[in-house]
Amino acid sequence: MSASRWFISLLLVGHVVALTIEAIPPPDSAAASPEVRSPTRNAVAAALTPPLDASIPTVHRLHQLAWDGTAWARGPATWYVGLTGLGQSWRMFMDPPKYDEYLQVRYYVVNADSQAGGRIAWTAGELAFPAHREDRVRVFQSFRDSYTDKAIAMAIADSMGQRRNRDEAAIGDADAPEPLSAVAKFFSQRFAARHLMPGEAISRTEIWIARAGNRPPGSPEQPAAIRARRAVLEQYYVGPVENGPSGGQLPRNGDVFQEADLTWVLEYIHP
Amino acid sequence: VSLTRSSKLLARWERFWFQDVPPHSYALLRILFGAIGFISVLGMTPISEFWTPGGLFSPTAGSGVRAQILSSGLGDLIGTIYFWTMLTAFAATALGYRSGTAVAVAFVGSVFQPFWNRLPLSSAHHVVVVVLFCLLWVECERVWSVDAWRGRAKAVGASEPIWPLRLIRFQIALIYLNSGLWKLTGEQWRDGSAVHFASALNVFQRFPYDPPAALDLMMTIGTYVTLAWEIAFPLLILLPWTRRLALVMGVLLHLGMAFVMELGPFSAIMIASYAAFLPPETTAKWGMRFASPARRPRVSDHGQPV
Repeated sequence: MSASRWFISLLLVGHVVALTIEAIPPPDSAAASPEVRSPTRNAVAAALTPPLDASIPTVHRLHQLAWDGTAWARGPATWYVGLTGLGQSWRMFMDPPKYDEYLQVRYYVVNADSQAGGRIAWTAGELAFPAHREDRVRVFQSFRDSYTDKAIAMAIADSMGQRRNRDEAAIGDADAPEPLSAVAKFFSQRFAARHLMPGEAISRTEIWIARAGNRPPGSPEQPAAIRARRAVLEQYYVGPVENGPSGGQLPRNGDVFQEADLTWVLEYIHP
Repeated sequence: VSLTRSSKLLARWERFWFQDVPPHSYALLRILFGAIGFISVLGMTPISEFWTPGGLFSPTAGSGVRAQILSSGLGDLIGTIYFWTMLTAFAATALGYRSGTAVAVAFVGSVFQPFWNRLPLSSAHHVVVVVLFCLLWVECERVWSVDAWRGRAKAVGASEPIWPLRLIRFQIALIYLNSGLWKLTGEQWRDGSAVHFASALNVFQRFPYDPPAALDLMMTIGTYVTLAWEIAFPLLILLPWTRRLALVMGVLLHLGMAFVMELGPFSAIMIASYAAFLPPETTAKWGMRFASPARRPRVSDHGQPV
């Protein structure tokens, strides 16, 4: 074998080893060992769930062994994978949410008259996420919408992760920007460009997030609940929902309101 | 005896990594990933929504290059240039126009995209990066390219080493194994309910119906088959007949996912990556059927260019 092939061989081995090592996540990122469950909804789940649940402690032990056994090379591997941009995580759908998620942006609009009286002229709510109507089949437009959905889903996940780190583990940068601010800024600018009259301005933007549980497998369908939720969503599909002047106290982070089975929680106020 | 054994091992190693193969597999991957990359960049439009600071754009912190660009007020300009550069690079990659430069620009641009704005990027982006990385090391413009048509590429019919193709195969296998092992630690994959919950999610659901209760058994089987197939993928691709089974299952699974869920370019990218698993000789022979007779390089019975 030629000298150049020896050299390339060395690089190939290093490449493969580095990617393999980097693919092993830290053991503390794996879920805790579970109780062995015995579902009864069908024969296949009943037969396979207990042995799979029982295998998890062994999987964790092997994971720990792989992690410890490759500790010596992790530094260079991380450096190499970072340098080449080949780092990746494949946790997609590892634990699919058991709920539907929605994000609504609410705008508080002021004009010269209302500002003089310290009032809000009018408010509106816009359903920003998901980007598509869920009462129709998604075809071509939904491909483009998937990027908007991904961006908002990522901002929500980042925001929740940031709060968890701050609240539970007391880690994270206290001055780090709120990920949901990107969503609030983008939609409020778009709303202002499309819907405000001259002399009007948005004085406050709120991000409300709602979750509604999905039916577990094997349980009876709930057409009435779906109809009720769709009736609520229908009004948002035609565009931002305008409300009258806001009276009384403005909502605070953590406040909730209910629409059908959607419990909206105020998660972020901008600015 | 040991000398003979080590010589044999060395010869096998050399054949495994350095065997010459027709360049068609690389050309096919270039075209597929260039085209999907181009459509993906187009999907991230308007530019003001995904590429410039006023859009759905990761908020800035710290004092890195990105923060400095944004604080200097050049964010809109750089974002717009970034978009057009990526669009052009992927188009040139697909067409095989100045392919070496195009692939390099598409790769570097893709690597830095998460640093510029990671919000709209899904797992599909990682697959594009790893395939482009492997294409950097070959002359993937030798066939089916504007470069070849204009005579800019090296001789049509010349071969390329197989190692970049093997690296792509390794990467795809690693992706499935990694993804399968993560899934195994998720309780819904173990109790067979993952496909039900994933296909019921409003963000992805393509049809306005929840999975019917009557399909529960099918969804449970689908969950376990997916889990087993992902974890077994690295083993299944080792033998020719199991490889065929793994790839056919993969195509069906990704087509099924694309049919019931809107996952952006993910399914198309995963199926496109299977081009790396086709024997290069077979890809070359299939390609010959579509090439015009005048430009067909001759391929021997063993698939080697002659």
